[in-house]
Amino acid sequence: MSALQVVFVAALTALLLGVVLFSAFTVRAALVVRPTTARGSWLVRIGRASNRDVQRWAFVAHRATGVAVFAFLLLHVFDVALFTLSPARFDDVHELYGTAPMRVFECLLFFAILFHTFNGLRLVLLDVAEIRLSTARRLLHVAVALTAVAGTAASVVILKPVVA
Amino acid sequence: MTALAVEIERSDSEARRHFTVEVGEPTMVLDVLLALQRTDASLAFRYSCRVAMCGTCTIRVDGRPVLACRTPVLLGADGLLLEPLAGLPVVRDLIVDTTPFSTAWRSVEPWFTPRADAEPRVLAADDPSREAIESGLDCISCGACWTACDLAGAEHRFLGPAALNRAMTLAADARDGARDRRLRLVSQEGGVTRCHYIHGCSGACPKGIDPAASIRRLRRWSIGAGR
Amino acid sequence: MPGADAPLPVLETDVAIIGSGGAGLMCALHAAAADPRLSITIVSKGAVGRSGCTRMVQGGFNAVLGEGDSLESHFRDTLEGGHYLNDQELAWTLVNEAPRVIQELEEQFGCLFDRTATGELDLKPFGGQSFDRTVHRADQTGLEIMSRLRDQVFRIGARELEDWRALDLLFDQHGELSGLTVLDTRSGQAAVMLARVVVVATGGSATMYRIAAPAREKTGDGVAMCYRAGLELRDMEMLQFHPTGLVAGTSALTGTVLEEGLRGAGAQLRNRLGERYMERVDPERLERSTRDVVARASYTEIVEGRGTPAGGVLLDISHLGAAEVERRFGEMAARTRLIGADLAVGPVEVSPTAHFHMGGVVIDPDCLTSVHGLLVAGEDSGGTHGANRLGGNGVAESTVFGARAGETAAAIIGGRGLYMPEPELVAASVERAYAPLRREGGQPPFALTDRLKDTMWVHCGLVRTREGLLQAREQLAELAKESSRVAVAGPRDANPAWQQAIDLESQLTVARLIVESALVREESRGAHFRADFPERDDESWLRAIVVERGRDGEPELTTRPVELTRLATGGRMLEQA
Repeated sequence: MSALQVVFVAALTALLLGVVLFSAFTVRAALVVRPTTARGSWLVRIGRASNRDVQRWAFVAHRATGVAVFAFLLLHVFDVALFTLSPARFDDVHELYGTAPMRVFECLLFFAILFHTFNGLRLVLLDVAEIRLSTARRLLHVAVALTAVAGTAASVVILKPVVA
Repeated sequence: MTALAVEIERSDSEARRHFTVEVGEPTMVLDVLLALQRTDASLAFRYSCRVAMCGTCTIRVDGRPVLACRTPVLLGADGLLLEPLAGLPVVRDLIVDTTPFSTAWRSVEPWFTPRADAEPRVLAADDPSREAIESGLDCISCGACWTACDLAGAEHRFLGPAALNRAMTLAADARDGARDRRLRLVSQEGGVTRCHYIHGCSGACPKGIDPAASIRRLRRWSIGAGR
Repeated sequence: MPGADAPLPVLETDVAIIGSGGAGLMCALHAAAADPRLSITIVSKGAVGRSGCTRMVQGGFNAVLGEGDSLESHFRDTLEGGHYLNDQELAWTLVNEAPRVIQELEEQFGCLFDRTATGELDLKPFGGQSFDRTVHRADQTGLEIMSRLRDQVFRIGARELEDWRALDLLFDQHGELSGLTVLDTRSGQAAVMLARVVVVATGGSATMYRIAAPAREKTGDGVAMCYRAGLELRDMEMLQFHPTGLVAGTSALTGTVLEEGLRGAGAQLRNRLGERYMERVDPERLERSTRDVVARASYTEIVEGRGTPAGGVLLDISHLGAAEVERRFGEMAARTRLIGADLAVGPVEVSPTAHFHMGGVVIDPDCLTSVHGLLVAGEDSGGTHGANRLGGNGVAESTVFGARAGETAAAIIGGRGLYMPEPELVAASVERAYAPLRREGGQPPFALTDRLKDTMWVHCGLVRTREGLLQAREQLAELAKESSRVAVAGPRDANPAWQQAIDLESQLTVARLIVESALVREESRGAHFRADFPERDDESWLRAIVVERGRDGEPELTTRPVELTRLATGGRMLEQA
């Protein structure tokens, strides 16, 4: 592994760690104001795994995916910008994108983008139109379903070269 | 009858926290509290009407804000944890001081103001504003949404879901003469723009109101009204 | 008790209103409207605007607003329903002002009542009424009225003493009303409130029965306070049982009302054998008969062994279709589902439940009492409903008379100063309140409250006899003795057990007056049914029983003929001078 590749992997790892920390912070923010000693406390705090609280879970997921996509985008701007310095270095770093672990990461990233997009569109819709609570929840189900279908299809395409 | 383990968050750290109570069918959480009061007469909790109208028996059951009178105890549950509402100062045990909640409510000027021209005087059954008003009307000020919201009560000066929902029902009312003033009030810092779409309120409301939708609606109406 | 013997804080106000239900808040709003400079204080044992029973009103508000209806017809129904025991001037005031109050609630305070597509008020049928005249908002009418009144009270900026209870009325050395003692139940601190006018609007006392509908706060504090202060009370034996209280085992949901509108909409009552017993009892009006008749019929079924094993009868409205029930009676359907039944799809077990006290303080149509500066409004007053209240006349009474009390308060306040109360009265009142905290070795009040409820239910309930009432008298005397030994360990801040001990005192006082009055009335009329005198006897009993505290501290009972000022028994309208 070249030095540059090591730097890239380190940056990516730091970025993923940052996303995890940020998600934890989002959950904590609620807990700081409203401590509870209920069993499985932070899960309970966000909401039960029931349809009643499904939008609350969507809020957390939306934040986490948003930060993840944004952070990756920053990194990606730098690795693409390498081309202006030297095409060889660009090729060096971009070799990584073809490796199996990186392809798995790309699949996850794609799921994140899809969810953030579909849920974002749902939120825009909620903002501009009169939508009932039950419909809002159903729309979320749709967003999740679309994410799952499109994400799975894309994953097949992404992973095919390494699986085969 | 089944034995149920109940843990209660007490203000006095010396006071008894753990209880066992015999419950039959049907038992609401309020019935559990009334039974436990006979074991420990110093237990402080609040209730009035027993039929989900007064909104004073709101507590957290296993971390979730609910009306004690409207929450059945499931037989076979492995125990209950009862805590006071969050985001409000605790008076004692399960009783909280709801002043921050009512201060927020008051600050949207929640009173109806008849229009100067008194037209329309009444709303017919098919009046378009009725549906909007009725969607937010049966609020009992129980504070469940306040606790379920990550912003209300957390030093963000957010008016909270209930007060904004009340403002919406007034702004939707064609009979009300203070629409512009109220829309300006809710457009200020701490008003509609503070909502993060967390939807905790809509998941917690025991009356099935969707305060988040009320806030969105109010936000649409207030565009331009804040200037 | 730390702090209890230190000098008490003194608060001052122009108008002190005790109670924050429909009567209390209407009073505050009308007093402020009449004179915006008045300082108004609302003393509320529970949350302001969220305690008491007006908020729980499901059914609605009777007012003459429909085409073809008339004040005379509403008045006649009220008197027929009240078996002519009513104070006719109070009933006339009620009927006359109800439409105006509805208009005020809707157009000034913004209440949203159900209307038809053509914009007319949607008036629904209620028991004992010759015309559909009940204004409502779905099955949550009281919630809408109270929420909007509460919002208006924010506007006038009255001083709100939330979770403060009133203890006793205070007088100066010449007997002038000077205010009241109050207790902040959150901190446990007592105080003296000097007031130029005091309005008592605490609501009734029906919580003293085993199966009962009212909110926790309603323990007869106002009536007991007025009795101790020497005011005359009337019709104390008249305590209404609502026919359809939920039966839910040991849950506190037991006794909560399933509203009158169900019967108005065609709900049927059947016993365990499937018999529709109202066909036997009142073939003409069936379930739409008045509350006293339906409640007693259900009670008889249950007592004679034709009830369900849990001690109820079956109320069924599912023939309307689940969707329709859901739309019109959604809150109640949800409540029945909590206990494993479902109003929308099948029968629900119900029992008569203690609901409303027709008796109370003697007032005139301006809410004035025999004590200068003291007004009484709402359920604490007696006479408006006679021997039985019509469904839908309750919230009408609280709001109509609350409003009048507010106007009267503003009108008489000019003639009243602030008077310094007699120190002994203050000391005795505060001592009485703190006593349970200071005693050692006694028991908390819970068991005694249970026994009181059982005594009243068994011996002074829907069917009464001399023997039973004598037993009740004996048991109440024993309970009174034991209640003087009740002890609560503390702490004094926010302690519901201590508050219940004080409640028990009020309940015992009122219970005794109910029993004593019931013993005197040797006939059956409205809510008062004596198995040993089962007939109504207009010849000797068209009289109100009036009770006041005698010099020896014991109740003194007298009777007073009902003045038929407007309508003779039998329904002939009298010429008005």
